[in-house]
Amino acid sequence: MMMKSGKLLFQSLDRKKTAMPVSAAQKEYLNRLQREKRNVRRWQWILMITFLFVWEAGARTGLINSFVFSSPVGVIKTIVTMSKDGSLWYHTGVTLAETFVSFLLILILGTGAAILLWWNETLAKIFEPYLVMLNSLPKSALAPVFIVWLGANMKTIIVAAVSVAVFGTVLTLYHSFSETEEDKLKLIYTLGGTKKDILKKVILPGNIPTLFSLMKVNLGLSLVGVIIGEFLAAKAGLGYLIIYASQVFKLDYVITSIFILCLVSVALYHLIAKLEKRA
Amino acid sequence: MGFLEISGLGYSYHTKTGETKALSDINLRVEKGEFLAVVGPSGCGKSTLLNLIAGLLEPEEGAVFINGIPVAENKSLAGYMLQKDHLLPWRTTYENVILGLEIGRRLNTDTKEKAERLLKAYGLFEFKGVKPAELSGGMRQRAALIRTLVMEPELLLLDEPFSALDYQTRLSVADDIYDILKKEGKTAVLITHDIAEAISMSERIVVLSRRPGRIKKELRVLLSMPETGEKPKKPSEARSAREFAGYYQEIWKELMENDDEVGKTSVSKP
Repeated sequence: MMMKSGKLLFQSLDRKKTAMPVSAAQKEYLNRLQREKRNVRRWQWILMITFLFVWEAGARTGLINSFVFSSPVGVIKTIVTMSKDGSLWYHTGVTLAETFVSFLLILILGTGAAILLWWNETLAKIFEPYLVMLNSLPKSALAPVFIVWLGANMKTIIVAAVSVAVFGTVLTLYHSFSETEEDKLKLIYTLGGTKKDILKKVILPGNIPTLFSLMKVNLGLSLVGVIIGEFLAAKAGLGYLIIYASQVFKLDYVITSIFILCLVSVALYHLIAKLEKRA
Repeated sequence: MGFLEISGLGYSYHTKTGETKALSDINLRVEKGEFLAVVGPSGCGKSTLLNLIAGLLEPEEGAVFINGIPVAENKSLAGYMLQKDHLLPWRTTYENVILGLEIGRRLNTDTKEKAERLLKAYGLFEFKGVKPAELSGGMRQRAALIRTLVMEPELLLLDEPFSALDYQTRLSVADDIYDILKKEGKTAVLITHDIAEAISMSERIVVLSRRPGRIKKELRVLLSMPETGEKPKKPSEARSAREFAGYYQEIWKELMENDDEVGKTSVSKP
């Protein structure tokens, strides 16, 4: 039996490593996958170029009002002027910094609170209804209150962003912690371990995938929080720029800010995805 | 006094709807190096008995002694093998094997050497850097046993350790594990609902009654092979021993009698 299972495993490992002679059917299959992938890419490009083209053409022919809807060329021009005078980097940098700080705070506070609740079941029972309530409360309603309490500054923005995501993080993580298989806990006890060992050896390492998927969600949520905060209480940042520019009818600036926000969120998402792969 | 001594042991589970007596008045003695099997219908408190011996539960009545010491005072004497291997998927085979040592802060050159020796002896050394997902069911169970053995327990508690495996693997893993336990000279208590497994692996069998579990019958297993008349060398051989069918019938009858009593004994709720 030992020999047999060992040999079987080697065979399956070998199959992974060495390239087998590829049959015609396998080649055909791989080609089809390749074609499919290229097809999807092609349509993605076509969609984007068509959209930009129709937008630009509409703006030039007067079909849409370029004063209100801006235009791709207008956005590019704005990006050029803004990067020349440095305001592009300044506002993007401010938003990024606020997002980064909020994101980290959400991660630390959320994980800490989830551990605390998992550790003390009574505490969890006491706090659960409050957390559920705070989680479903629309946090944008709180933002004006934060301004009154903390002033129109970066503190308010960060607190607003943290409040958007932190309660959901605590609840999700806590539930994921408590769903750990009973027998896994028993295993640690049979090996002479304590609750602390369960936390260190089973709960935390076992929940890394959950943590990463939460980070991906939280990234979006902390951006939402930061932008809401900047709408209401900022003198810099992309959210501030959007509000300010829309009030003075500089729609080029508004669209440009939104475009940059798109880039920022995609880039940050990929950053986390890359971290996840390495973990 | 025996190596493992259980006297007057009783235990109840408490839920909102009432109290369920799981075990009642269990008296048992296991000698050093002995292999004892406990069989019984499902829900008869077999696992409870094991949890009590391991010190995971505290007895409500009676006490458990290992080497004359109450289990509550020294929990590290018993090693426990669960139904599933529960290897942690993010750890390699080696890292899984040393999990207990890590927890007990007993990781040193000696214990590491012991872990490697056991991995070598039981055909897992080449796989020490591999994650459990790449191991076969039998290999995983062996890794789980090594994880227990490396802690050098005086007593091994096996809680249906083969029930999660398919039949064929089950037989060969039973041979492997039996072999390992005999070589390491361990005292073992095996809990199972598989009569054949109990007869083929153990030297003595205790039959528990339906809930609340009491010792209904105790029998010593003495097997001899049809041609040579010698003791079978491994559990899979034992299944063709002369006396096998006789023991099987005897235990089967005990368990069936249990079934007849269902109506009488299952009125434990208030």
